[in-house]
Amino acid sequence: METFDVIVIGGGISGGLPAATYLQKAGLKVAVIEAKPELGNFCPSHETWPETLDSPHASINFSGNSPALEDLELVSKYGFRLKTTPVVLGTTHRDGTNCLICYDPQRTAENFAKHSQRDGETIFGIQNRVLEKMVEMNELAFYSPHPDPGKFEEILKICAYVMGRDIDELETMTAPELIEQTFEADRVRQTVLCPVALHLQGAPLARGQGAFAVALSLFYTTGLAIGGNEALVDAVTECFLDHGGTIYTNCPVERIEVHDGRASAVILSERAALPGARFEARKAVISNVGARKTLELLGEDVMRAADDRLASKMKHWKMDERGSTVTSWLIQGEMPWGSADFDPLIKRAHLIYRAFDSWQGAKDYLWAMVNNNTWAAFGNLIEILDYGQCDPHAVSPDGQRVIRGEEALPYPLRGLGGPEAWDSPLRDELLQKRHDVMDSIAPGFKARLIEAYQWTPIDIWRVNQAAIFGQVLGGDFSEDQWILDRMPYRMPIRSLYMSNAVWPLGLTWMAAGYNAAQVVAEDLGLRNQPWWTHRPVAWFLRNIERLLEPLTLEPVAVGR
Amino acid sequence: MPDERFDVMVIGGGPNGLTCAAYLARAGAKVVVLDKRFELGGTMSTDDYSTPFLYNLCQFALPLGRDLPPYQDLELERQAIRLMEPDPSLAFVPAGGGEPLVVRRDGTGLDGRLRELFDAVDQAVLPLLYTAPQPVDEVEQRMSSGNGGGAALELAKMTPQQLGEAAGDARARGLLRYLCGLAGFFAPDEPLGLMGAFLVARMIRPTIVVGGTKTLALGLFRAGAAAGAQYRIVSDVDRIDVGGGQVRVATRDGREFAGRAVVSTLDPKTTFLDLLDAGVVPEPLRQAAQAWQFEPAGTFIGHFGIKGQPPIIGTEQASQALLQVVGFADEAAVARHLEAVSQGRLPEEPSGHLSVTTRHDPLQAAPGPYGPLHTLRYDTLAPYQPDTGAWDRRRALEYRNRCWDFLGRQTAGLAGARLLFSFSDSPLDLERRFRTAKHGSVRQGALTRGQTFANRPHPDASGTRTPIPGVYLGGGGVHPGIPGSLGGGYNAARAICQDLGLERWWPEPAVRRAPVTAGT
Repeated sequence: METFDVIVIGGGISGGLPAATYLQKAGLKVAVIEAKPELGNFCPSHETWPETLDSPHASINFSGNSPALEDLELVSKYGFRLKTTPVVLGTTHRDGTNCLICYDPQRTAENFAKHSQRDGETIFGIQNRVLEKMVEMNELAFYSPHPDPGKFEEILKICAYVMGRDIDELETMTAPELIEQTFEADRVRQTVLCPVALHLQGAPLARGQGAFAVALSLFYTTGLAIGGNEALVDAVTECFLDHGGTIYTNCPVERIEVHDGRASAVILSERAALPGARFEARKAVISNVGARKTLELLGEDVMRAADDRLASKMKHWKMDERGSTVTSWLIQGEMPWGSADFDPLIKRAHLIYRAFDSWQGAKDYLWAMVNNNTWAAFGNLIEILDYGQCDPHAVSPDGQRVIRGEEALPYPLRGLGGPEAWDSPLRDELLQKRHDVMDSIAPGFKARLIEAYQWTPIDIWRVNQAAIFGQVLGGDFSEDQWILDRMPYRMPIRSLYMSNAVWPLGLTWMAAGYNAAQVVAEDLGLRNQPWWTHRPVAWFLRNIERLLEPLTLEPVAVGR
Repeated sequence: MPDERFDVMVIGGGPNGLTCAAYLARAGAKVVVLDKRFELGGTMSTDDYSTPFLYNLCQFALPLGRDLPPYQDLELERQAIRLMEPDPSLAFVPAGGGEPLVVRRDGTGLDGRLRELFDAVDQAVLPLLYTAPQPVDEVEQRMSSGNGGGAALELAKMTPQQLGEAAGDARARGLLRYLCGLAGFFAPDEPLGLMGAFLVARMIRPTIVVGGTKTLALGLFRAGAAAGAQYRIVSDVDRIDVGGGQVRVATRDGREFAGRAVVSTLDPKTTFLDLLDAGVVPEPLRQAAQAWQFEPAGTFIGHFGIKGQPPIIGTEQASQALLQVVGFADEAAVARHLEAVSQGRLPEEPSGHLSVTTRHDPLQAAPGPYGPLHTLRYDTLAPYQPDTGAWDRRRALEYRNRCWDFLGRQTAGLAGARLLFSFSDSPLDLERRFRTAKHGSVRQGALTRGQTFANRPHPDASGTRTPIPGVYLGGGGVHPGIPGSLGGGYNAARAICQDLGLERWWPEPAVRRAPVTAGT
């Protein structure tokens, strides 16, 4: 049996792996225990088809927000490379128009003005205020271990400031209401809504939370990793190992042992590569497996004895509002965006949304989602990624590339056969219809299509044990599971911490893991490290010009 | 100006490159591994493609397990890198019915004399893998005078046809001919040589890695990273320049690395003809590289993820074997298949072998929900360049469907399962994925007698050192050339340690210390 200072259950990129790496670098002896063969299981790169690249699940790289890029020397020492395009995100529409939110507010304004002069001016003001508050907001809202009521108040203030309104006003508004009050062009409205609607920053129809979520969604950077997202996992892993960390893969965990109210050891399952092994944790256990699974590992009785109310909350932790469905398409050539004439910059964008046919359609969509009406929701909101825009390695020499689409849909399939019907011919029907949707915004898409793969919510759950019902973000962001009401980083059982199902959502920005590490380091008196000082987004903003420079490849060498 | 400086640069993050880097980093060298792909592991890649199933994309049934010196030296077992030895290992299920032949790890199921020959070649060759090679004639000469070496040589001199004849039982003949094909011996009359015979012998006792083959590669990576080695994925090296007491390496995306030594794990053609400037490559090496022979055909691999019970092939016992050879009526059918694919023709039927990975290692499919889930891998030898037209996506997809339909006919119970995901690689796909899998074979050049020992790839370079200052070979294209042996990387690390004045921290390998029949 081996003993460690800290045992991290689950080596995911959003929580477990970065938490482990920060703490190992801070001088602790840390082990990561992972059920799957690789760390960052949900953040892989795949060469699904030869000489192409795909990251079908955690696909957008949000690490540009993270201080880990500098704190952990991921770029300067461990070879991580990030790229982005001038467009943070955009939308394209069947009517041949597009809406592009760019890193340069002037350029965003120019695009929005094609829809409405007034909306162009409005977004210019908002985006400039966002840039002004970018670092501060990221620190307060994302790279702080919540719940923290003081910081929460500050977050709301900044949200109101960037939207140019009073807090009181935002507190009574849903997301669609705020958007309607702020922008007049429907395509613009659809665009501003889509990250809130898909990414679940908040429940868009919840008054207050929905409106704040619109503001919060403006503080993201988006990019793509050279080599796909697994490159980020590799760089963090290398840092962890270089500082002496220990990794056990193929090791499902059976139980977290609690003695005298303290989490003290982790026991592996009999299925593990080290069957039944027991590892003692001298100082901390961090669970990265979500609320429900953590409860299971602890045993409900143990959790109830510590905090009955939290135990109930964990048992019924909401995961089923939306399950992810993902498609990867192999196409010949480039994306034939139907709106390329409207604003040709779309041809350089890496992240584009199919975002409804009308503003009314957008509102109907939200209602369909809430009511679990899978087919009514279908086809309205798809996140589309084009890796080749940032990484030439993702495009094969004969010009084939992967386009990846994600659409969140209600999970239960009531009236359609229940959840297991995701395995039925419904999955093929969904895929065929999604081809049609793509063709409607990118005419000729189907003619370029070579092959495709489709993942349903239960496929995603099977891949990622923490993604119950295909919920990949650590649980729904309903009103009772928002900033102050998510799982605490510091659990009521001593030495037990969470790095999943916390605030904020799990993503490649590694915020949850950063925060878990902060809490553990504070409790152990190790937070003051000379290297642990960088601010979020700062590196990204300093290097934006370099990140925008396209990477080019020499032709393959033959004979010298 | 180079972007970064190291002592040693390793081109290729496959099993050999990772081995080499881990040993050198532990010896104190500043090492970087450069790999073209988005991940480390090379042909030991296992991927789930984000589906509930794990697919071993290239190497699966490994020739060596616990005997691997790096497994011992780098203490991989303690790191939860676990190996399995499936038993029974092989089954030959005759097409058209008839009792299947089941072969166990100890050779049960095969003719007694043949088992002795396999054991002899195993014992004779194993100690020769982890040391610089002698000329093949000398090896054979010493062996002929050694105790038991004669039996090893007897097998080495056999052609696939003769091996088949020695097998007696019609099913065993079919099986052995098939194994020769898997070892890259397609022609009936090409003697296996010691390495070829060793490879076939080892197919009777395969090892698989819990969690998929990549887990072993990751163990090698972790050992290296813990010792400070650095890794740069998506680094497609397109030139090596030597001179001024240093070596410089450039990638296609414009980065440069400099160091005292470079280890190429790529094949001799790529290393000597494409990466190095013609001016620095001595004429004999250049000629050897030009004459280097890849295998005429490769493998088409289909991966199928099913929901339902795994299929039964022949009998329950045959279905338990790791490799289940299906679709061949007899040895003649195998011979026809091998002849067809080596001549660029698609065979009449995609006969080959099935492995139900999850029967042996349940971790290679998700536990659920809504199962059971099983991972099937199907291999069929296939032409590298079919005469009906080069492999492309459409042809590969059609062929994958053919394999699936074929499996449905050859097995029982598959009709009741739902196919959730399927992937496949033609020989060309494998070559496009893995820079080392030339012609869709994991061996970087045939293991024919003339391309083994000191001739792999040339007497001036087979000991991993080359006449070009600072340039070493460490992949499958150098002795021993047995995929999965990690020998190329291991031997390169030893030579570089010596040349750079680093301390060799690891002991003589156990396989060398064991009683051997041949000279050393």
